[in-house]
Amino acid sequence: MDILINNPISLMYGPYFLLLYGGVITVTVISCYLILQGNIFDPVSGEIPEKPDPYEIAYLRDGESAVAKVVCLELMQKGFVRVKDKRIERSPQMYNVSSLQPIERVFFDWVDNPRVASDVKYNAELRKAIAKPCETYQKSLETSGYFNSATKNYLVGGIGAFLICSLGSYKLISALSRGHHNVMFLIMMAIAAIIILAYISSPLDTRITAKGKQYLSDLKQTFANLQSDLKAPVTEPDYNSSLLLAIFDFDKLKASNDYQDLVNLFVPPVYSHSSSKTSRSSSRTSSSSGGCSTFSCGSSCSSGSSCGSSCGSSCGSSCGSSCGGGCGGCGG
Amino acid sequence: MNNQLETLGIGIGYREQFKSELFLNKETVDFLEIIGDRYLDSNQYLQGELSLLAANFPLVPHFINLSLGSAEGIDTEYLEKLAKLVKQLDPPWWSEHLCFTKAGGIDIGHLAPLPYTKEAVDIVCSNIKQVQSYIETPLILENIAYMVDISGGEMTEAQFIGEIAEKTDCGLLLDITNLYINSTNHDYDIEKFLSQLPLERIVQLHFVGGYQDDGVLIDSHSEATPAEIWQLMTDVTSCTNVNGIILERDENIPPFNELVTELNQARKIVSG
Repeated sequence: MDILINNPISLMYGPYFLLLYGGVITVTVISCYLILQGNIFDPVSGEIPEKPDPYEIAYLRDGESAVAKVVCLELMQKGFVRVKDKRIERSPQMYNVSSLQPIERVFFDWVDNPRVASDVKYNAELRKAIAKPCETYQKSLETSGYFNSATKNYLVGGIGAFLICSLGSYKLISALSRGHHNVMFLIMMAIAAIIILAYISSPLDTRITAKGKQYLSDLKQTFANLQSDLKAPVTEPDYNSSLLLAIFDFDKLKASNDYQDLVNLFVPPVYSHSSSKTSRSSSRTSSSSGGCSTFSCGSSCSSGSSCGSSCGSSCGSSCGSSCGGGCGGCGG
Repeated sequence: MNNQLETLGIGIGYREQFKSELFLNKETVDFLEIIGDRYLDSNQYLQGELSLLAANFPLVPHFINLSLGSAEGIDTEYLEKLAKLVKQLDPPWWSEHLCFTKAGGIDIGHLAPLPYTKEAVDIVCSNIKQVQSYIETPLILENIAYMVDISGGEMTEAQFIGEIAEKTDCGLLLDITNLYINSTNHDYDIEKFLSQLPLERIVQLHFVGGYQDDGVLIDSHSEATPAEIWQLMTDVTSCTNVNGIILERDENIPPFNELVTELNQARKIVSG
């Protein structure tokens, strides 16, 4: 028992202990963050499935509201819903709802009354209804390491908090038992550490891991040029458009005329006061073109791609051209 | 040579223009050939692209500017970067052209043919030995298409290629389109060419279509593969096993499903 009372930590001079405690807190908090985020310094690109599931990608990017938009587009393409008078409503036709996926059925049931775009994005009832079929994506993304599970977050945060609280409590009791009452800094440090730990291990804040962010970035880079394929009529299912919406939100679809009604619904046109012309932009669009939003990452990849392309061209076409064509055929 | 290396199958030369479609049709492409020069001084974007490609496909780097035929020797700065990239990718083999692209310290921006002389053989072999001292991964050499036949040759092109391959223990990347174009433009017999080539050293094939301009075939990498090239592929693959075949389309790139059709055609030929 003597060791519990008389040991280097118990006997340590207060300010020195605070330094040590600060170090322990720093290491614990950073460790917890790294465990929850994965390798944040050099995330490695992973495998992209041949046909990525647009619903799963949308869920990874922005949760239920992003999924709802993709479902809306899918149902629109399949002819189940349409946009009329700035509202989303069921199409006036016979439905074979048995062909719908559960998540599509949820959305279809929900549009029994015409809905506005903001409902799709923010309606709590829809989000709650969609959350159930989204559990499959949640599990799949957790298994792939793109999402942290709430259990893991609580466990990691809990262990970190336990370490910090144990050491702090021990020193606190030890100090009080020796008649030292100047423990305010110790208590403040412990409270601050617990607040930081609670923040970084909150399932809402660390939902997506560094690996998940890298996957999204890879998807943006890979499918940045896919927009040119958007030529399908609205009533014909087009996988590419759903994939683009899942990855880029409406940034890529707005380039197409095929989904004008739906795009206008979610990204309303802005009328310029300085000119009689209508400019189709929104705050998101303009920030995107300005190159500062998340979506401009995709765009900047595109510009990167032109850089890459020019590089590739210089090499590729050196091969292609100098190997062959341009120079009159002298190459590989 | 080709028995010692793994078989990769039928692939395509990676071009950024069809990246999206490539990933959506991954199962149809067994491996990718990347232009290594593109990534030698690459920025973060290109490093990311390379990392993404490597995570999703077996990669084989193909280089353009090593200039194995330069009498002045190899550009060691370029070679060091190249070696670093090959080490990073750890491919089963890598390839370069049997030609020169640099002379007197000047980059001529062109794959220029070599004279088929013993002196040229010695120079190329010496350069390759230097390269092999930097890179353990097997090097395979590609025959180029050429407009000018350098005079004073002491041997045929096939003998020249074969002698270098034997002396340096390199594999061969037989570009059957180049072979067909050269045979037509310079009026020589393909069968005789193949009979003089160490066929067992052929590791990889390149194929694609070109176009004809004023009676001259141009290796433009811009057209669908013509029947003559398919026949040549059939002939070569019936004589020897190759470890990989690459469709090398650079220009006038069609919808990806047309490229897939060509890959499937090659697959059908290889499977006999």
